[in-house]
Amino acid sequence: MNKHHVSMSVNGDPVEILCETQQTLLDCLRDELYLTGTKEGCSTGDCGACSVTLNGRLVCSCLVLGVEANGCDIQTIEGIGSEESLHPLQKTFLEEAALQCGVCTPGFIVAAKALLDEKPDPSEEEIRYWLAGNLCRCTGYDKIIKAVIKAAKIMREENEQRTNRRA
Amino acid sequence: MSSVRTEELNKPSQKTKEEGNKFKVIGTRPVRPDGMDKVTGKANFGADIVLNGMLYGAIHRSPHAHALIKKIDISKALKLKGVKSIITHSDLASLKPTDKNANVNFFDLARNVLAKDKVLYDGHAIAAVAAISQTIANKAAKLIEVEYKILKPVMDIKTAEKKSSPIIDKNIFTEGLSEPNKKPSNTAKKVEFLLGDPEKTLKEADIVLDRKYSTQTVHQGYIEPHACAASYTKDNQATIWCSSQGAFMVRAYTAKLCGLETSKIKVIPAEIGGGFGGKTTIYLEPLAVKLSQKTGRPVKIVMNRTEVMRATGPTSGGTAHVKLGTDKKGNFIAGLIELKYEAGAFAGSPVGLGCMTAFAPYNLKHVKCTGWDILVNRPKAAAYRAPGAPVAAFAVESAIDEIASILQMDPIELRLKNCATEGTTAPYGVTFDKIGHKECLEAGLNSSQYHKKLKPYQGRGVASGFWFNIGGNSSAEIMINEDGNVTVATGNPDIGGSRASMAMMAAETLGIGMENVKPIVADTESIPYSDLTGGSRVTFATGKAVIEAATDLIAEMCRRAAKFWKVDPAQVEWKNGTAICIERTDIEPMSMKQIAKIAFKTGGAISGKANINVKKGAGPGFGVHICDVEVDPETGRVTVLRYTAIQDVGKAIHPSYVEGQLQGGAAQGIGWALNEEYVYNEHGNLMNTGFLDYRIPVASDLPMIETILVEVPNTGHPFGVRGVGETPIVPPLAAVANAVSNAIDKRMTDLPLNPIKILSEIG
Amino acid sequence: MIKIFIPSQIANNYTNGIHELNAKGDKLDQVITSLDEQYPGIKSALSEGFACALENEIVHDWFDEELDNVRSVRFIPAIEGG
Repeated sequence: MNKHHVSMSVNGDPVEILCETQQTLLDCLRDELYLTGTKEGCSTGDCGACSVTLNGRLVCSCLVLGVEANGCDIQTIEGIGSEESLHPLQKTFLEEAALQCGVCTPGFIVAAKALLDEKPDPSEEEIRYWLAGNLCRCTGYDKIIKAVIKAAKIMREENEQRTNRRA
Repeated sequence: MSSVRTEELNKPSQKTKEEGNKFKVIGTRPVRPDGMDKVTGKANFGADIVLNGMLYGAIHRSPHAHALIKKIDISKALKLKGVKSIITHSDLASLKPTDKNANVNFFDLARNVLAKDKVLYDGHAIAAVAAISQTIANKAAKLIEVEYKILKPVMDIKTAEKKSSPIIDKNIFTEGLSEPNKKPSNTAKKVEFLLGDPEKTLKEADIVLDRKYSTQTVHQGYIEPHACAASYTKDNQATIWCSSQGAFMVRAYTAKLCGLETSKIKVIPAEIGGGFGGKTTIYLEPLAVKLSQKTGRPVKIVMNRTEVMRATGPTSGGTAHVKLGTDKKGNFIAGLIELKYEAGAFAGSPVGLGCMTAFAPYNLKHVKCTGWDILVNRPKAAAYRAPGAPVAAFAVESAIDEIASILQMDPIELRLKNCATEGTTAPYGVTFDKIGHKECLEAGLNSSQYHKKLKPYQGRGVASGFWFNIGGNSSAEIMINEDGNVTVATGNPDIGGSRASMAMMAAETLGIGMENVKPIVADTESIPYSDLTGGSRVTFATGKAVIEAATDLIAEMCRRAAKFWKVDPAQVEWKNGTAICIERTDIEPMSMKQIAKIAFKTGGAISGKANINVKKGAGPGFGVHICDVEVDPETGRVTVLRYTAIQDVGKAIHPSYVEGQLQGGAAQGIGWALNEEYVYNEHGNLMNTGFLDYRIPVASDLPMIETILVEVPNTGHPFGVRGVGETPIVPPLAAVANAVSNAIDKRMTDLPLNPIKILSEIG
Repeated sequence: MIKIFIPSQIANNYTNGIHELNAKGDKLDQVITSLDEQYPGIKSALSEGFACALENEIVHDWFDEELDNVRSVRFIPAIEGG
């Protein structure tokens, strides 16, 4: 069996792995790098549990081959915030009870962060359509949408404060 | 028409009156204790377990819906380098049809996890492989060759009932008939519940609504596929890591199927990524244990989505025939329902529960509910949130809506006229204590949604729903750590935030803060037996165990304080989280921190425990849902415009998570009503095995789901808790269907209400 | 005298189809034991998989429940959930 040498940056760290041709980026993250925060719900790009960003773009890591990630910059849930300093989305997901079982949560946070990085003030409708690729079976989405709206507000305020300080 | 509205966002959502809260912790909304791990990706779910020297498993599954297995040839697969072992049904313990108890038929379960002589549905497991990598295991599974004699598949109830149709299981003789069946049948069972004389009374009715309804097979759709790892060691002990709704259930079932003593197995519960009833049984665990036993190495098996859809837990599609009789004023006088539910390939649909719940929300003196459990070549039905109730409620609540329009009565007023209240005897035999159906209906009448005006092609639907609440066996232990904080251990996997409610009830009872309590789900060797997480029982029954354990702990802490103070224990009381010596102002009260410090001096570590079977006090739950839809006459697409879910929750321990149960259940019910169904081709192959074609609601399909928590306390629980989790999926099927029927002025009786069906109705 | 209601499947097998039985006793297991003398085997049949409704309570794993103020006992299939 021929394995391929893949170098990439994962959450800012340089990593090198050997992966099989058919292994997905999701497999590489979970089985080779033991970054199991990224989940597999379907392996067909329908559920978004495996959401990561690749060179800043939101992707389903189950639809990207490991070899395709060679030379790329990957961000996973493990790179978003930390227990000491949570990302606003992580905070609002906790405060708004936007998770029940929690298996879809990493994907939602990665996808919502990608939205807010691109569009700091999305409408409810924009949030719902952006997150339409992330399935949650527990919450009915209500509290997730509310958490994203709240996080967006916090992030805008933080951003404003930063701008003011600089000025 | 967009499905998204933003107007609701600016308004505060309906909340319980928290200001009137007599509790300190209960009724507040703290951050859940397990939340941090879940938002940072650190929580370990079933598939996240990695063990040293681990092998990977894969399963060979049947491509046929119904066939005899003539030969299984594993030789080619075994020759593949890296393959360590392959097992088939004959590697499991040999069981007989009589190996069953009240909950489970082990003979069937064993034939479900690995087919015996016959495959019974598309995707039925036949053999399991363990290999050094997932790639090799998958390849080996494909190399297994099975020779079949293909039989005609029996895919629906109508075909199953035909005398000329093939018999799926020759051991099945219809149970419950007055004249025992002499020949095997695809009908496994008849059940009947009777109250009064409904047939005679129906003849006296002014209006009789007589209608037939049907629904399709649907899946629980948990996002986390089934996964487990097992390690069998040389001393004949097995350890299983898995996500399930009951570690003790996994232990008992796996032991039976593997021919091991229960005590030889330890089950360590992983985080569970959704269950909704679908993880109240096992599929992979005995396979992983047997493969580990054969190879001497740990084995992990993870299903993919296709396997989940083809071979795990759907709930029954079914038909319902309702006859509901009323007088001219709308008083219900007699109700009859005949339910036929698909069991899948093994007996055991939830049709009995459908019968018990069908008319339970109403005060009816004459009721007959007949249920038929029918085998078809589909996966073995598993529990799904209020199993059996949604289909029955769809039929009865649709019939009530039609009667309301015949009588030109408001559908909520009609329900108010007939709703069950304290003292009503339900058709299944219980006489209700204080219940909140009436209060929910009144809240519906007063809800803001109910007064919103509707435009053309828009419709409003209302439906009620009922589900039981059960008690059962629960264990809890509360330990004081050296720093004075406590650990609360229970044996119930947390499927929706129960660690938060356990911690809150412990904190409330002990008089301490949430931050001083760490709740855990213990493994099967660290806590006594507990029934599985299901039946909306955990916050009620396991909560009761936690309260009793806390009370036990308080008694011990008071004894220790008395010993330290050298006073009579009767002089020590527990107040606001401290031990106080009554009538002695010279003795300073002792906090838990201080008691932790004197623990070793006064006798050793301190804990409180309760191992109880909660036999009584379960509080039934009623809900009322209101749904507004708009139908696009050109495409037939239904958009849910507004939705309000109202429920009597007894007492909401953590209101946010209670609202979450209502919203999640409503969303699942909306999916069931509008989109979801198993689609089989003529050969019995499942055509929609992924989330692309089996479309569960996504964020852009739904509006905000308003919730109204009605609190009529359950007198059988110290804090008034009722079961909450299951009731919310009972009303939505009819609420949506009634809304659509009212929007297009055609009665919709066959779910799901997809665009094709709607277009064919509106022409 | 307490009225005991039993499901069809038990009635068909043990009581010639009679659903409604009468018995005496202060505790549930006494009552069912006395029925068992009349209809041998019914006690063990009702012990697995059946709960019973004692007026306002459904009792699983029934045993020696007190029957003060209980006029009727209905055996029903044990309730499971999701």
